[in-house]
Amino acid sequence: MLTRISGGTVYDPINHVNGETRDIFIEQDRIVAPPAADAKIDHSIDAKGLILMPGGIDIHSHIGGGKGNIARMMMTEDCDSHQICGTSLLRSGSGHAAPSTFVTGYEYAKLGYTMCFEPAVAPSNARHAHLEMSDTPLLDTGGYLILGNDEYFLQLLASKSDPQLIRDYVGWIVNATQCIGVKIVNPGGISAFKFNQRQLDIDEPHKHYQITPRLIVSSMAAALKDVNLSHPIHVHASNLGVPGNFRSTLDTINATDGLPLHLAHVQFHSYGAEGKRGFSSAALEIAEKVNENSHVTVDVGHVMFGQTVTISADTMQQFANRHHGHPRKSTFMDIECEAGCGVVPFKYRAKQFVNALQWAIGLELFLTIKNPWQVFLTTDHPNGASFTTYPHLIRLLMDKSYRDDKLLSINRFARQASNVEHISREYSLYEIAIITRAGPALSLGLKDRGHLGPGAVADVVLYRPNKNWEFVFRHPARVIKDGQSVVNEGNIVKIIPGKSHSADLQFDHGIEKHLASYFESSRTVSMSNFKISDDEMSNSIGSSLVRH
Amino acid sequence: MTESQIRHHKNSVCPFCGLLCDDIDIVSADGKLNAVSVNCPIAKALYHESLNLPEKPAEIRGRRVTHTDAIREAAQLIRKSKSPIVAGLQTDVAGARSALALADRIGAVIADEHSRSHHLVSGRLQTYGGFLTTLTEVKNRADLIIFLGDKLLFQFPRLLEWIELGTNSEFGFISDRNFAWIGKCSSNDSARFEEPPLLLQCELDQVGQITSILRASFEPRRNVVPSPELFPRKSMNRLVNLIRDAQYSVLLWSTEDFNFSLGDLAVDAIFRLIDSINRERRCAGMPLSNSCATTTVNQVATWQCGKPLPLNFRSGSPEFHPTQYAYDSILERNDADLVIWVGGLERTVPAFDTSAELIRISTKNPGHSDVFIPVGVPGIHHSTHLFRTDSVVSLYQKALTQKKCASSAEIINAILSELDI
Repeated sequence: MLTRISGGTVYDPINHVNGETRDIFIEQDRIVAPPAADAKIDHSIDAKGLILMPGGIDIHSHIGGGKGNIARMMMTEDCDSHQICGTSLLRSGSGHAAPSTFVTGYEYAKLGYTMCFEPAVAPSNARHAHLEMSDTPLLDTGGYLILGNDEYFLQLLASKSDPQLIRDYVGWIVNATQCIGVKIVNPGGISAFKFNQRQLDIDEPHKHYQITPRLIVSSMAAALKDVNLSHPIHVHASNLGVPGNFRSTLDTINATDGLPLHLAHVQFHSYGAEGKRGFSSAALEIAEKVNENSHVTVDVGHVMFGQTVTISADTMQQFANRHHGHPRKSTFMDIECEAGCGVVPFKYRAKQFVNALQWAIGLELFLTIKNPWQVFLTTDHPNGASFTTYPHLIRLLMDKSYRDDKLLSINRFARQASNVEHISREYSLYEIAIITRAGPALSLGLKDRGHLGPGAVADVVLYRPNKNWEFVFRHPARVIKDGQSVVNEGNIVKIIPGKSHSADLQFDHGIEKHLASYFESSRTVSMSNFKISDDEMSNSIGSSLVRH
Repeated sequence: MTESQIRHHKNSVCPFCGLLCDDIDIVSADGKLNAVSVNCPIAKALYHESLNLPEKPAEIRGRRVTHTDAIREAAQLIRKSKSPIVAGLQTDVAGARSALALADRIGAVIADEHSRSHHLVSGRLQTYGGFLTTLTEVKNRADLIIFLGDKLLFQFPRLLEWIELGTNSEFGFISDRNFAWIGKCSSNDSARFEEPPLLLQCELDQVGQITSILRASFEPRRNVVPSPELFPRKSMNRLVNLIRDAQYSVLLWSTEDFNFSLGDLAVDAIFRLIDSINRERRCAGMPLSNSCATTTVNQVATWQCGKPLPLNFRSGSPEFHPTQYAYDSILERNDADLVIWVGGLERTVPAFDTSAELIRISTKNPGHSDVFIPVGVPGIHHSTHLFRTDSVVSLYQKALTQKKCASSAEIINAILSELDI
């Protein structure tokens, strides 16, 4: 079936299309080149006056896995106050800060998002993460595997093993867990906390292994380069949330020695320790460093005011921050000699100095990192805020006067400590298209996503222009996923399952000899049962695979 | 069953308790399947029973019928019902997905068989949180393991085997390991340790009190003197010193042991002790559920609905209440006119004494049921996903036999198709 979307104003940065009126053609689930003039058009969509963009891609959002499920269970108040009834088409669910899977899929689709990546998959929890994500309809998904705190990897580094062995291990475990990227969370810090080390800066030695986070980051970056993983090493740097942590963040950038690096939720890592409250913005220092280093990308992890829940593999820092929880409860877990997790509910308050300055720091980062291809729009859902706040965030970026109004409502000392009111930059639609879909697609190596050129998967969003950009991005006129209309004027009209995206890395399979013995002696599942096969993904977990 | 129907499976996943041991070799012998290489009375008995499950026909009120007729009748009973409950739920991920879809579609209550003991931990996490750990951490890192309760080694016969393997770990984190036991440790249990554990013998309902007193030693501003009547001060001091000297202590208990009135207070006291130790040292808890199905269905319910079981969908969205919607409470109150019992992994199948109509989707059919539709055992007769008791590790097991037995998920999906809602 050939569909023509005619007369829309197209924003397709990967193909350098900036607000041009074009027709887009879809055949089955793909964008195709304009057909011959006499070709039969089976279906036409009039997009005159509408804005067209590729489907949104969230590069960092906690949507699947054990941490999220603990958060859902703990957030009883959130779930009780956000009850969603089912219909003949939709399943029921609950939750806002930590929504259930069906609700997550529906809400993302209604915002025009068609892909979402879970950034913290613990290796032994990968099967769980994929099971959850396959129950998240309307979204293609993928996961980043948490490495760099797994004792096997740390032991390889501490014993100065052959880098090829490290490379083979990384390649093996990414494939075995069906992930598409690798994330390091507080390099070495999760493991160190299990040895009762309560802090670990980038050049501090791990209590047991005597290796530093710097070595962990540089070794992993090198291993990922060697196995040709598209997405650069995805780093949650040391000292999350600690005043003065911007120095660790700058050192983390230096640690990769020019190799590609993605810094996750960089807002939480851009703090100075100046002023009488010992907390200040170091966004400009971080932005300057990013501007100087084109191999570095960041997602912001912006904070919005209200109740949320923080979920992180960073047990060390979550445990340290547990007393700030609201409501005051927290759950932690040491996981399988490879990872950890901490879940702490949190309420960001506009009138509270630190929270207000965090909000401003996020905006400073967005507005001072010059190249939009280096910065991606996230709230680190749900850590900074729910992903449902994205339209509001987009308006803050696109509308200076609105931003200034909002600035007046936050803690005045935070306002004075921030540079936001002196920044006049307003994002264009083209730049919004970069930070919400084109940039993430390029960073992840998704060749047929994030753009509207021939051969791309037909994930297309039609927005209706309005002076209020929040309204525009909250209420797409139509969302097309895999060539099928799934949202029409804010209503979900069709449910289709998402696909799962994973990497297919090359490595020496001889590594399995070492690993089989390691699993036998040190783990509690066998190597063969640890691995997730393609057949299991497709036929039992329920996600058809797309390999990259 | 013929030899040609059987294959050899190494490293099979045992679905019969919360540990989900995955080192079972299944081989054929004289045309029958046997579980081998496993020193576990539970696994041996249940593998034998499951692998030799007699073929049963579907029934409507005791009358043998085709599956199609039974599914049609089940759908008819569901259409007629004003207050159905989907219960039991000793099933796997696929079974839980289907059962939740059914409950959501028909506006039913859905409750698993062990929701009360499960809630002892989930309720504590909902209210205060807690610090937990997983089996591989215990195996490799714990240099002090404190057992609480009395049935741990009975309910989890291979628990010590897994833990003690850790002394051969490649990591080499621990050279020595101490064990303690608060509760009742039988002489048989004690004999299973290389050296008997330090024992603080007490009744189950005193475990909470002892852990609270222990906790005082790890609180900066409390100085509670332990009661000498309750237990010997010397043992208490020894345990305090063991915890102080430990790099990583772990408290292990079976949730079933604390399923008594005020058992939740004991569980709360255990978590409080863990919190206090973690101020300056490292410590974590690992509650054990003897049913991997309970862990599994609660995980699926939580990600699909935002809440664990039991849930009530009668208002259109999932409402959670740990006791009000527990299936025994619902039956006691006669608050259901139809019970849809979903099983596969239940060790015993209750014969209900209820005025409600009963659809039983299970391996067995004791007593009366209005509709009985036989299913196979997850991981034996059909492929399965199950969660281990620590809720982190989930494993996949393909069918062990080629004998065709439908899964609970297939039956429920067929009923949903018949209902066409």
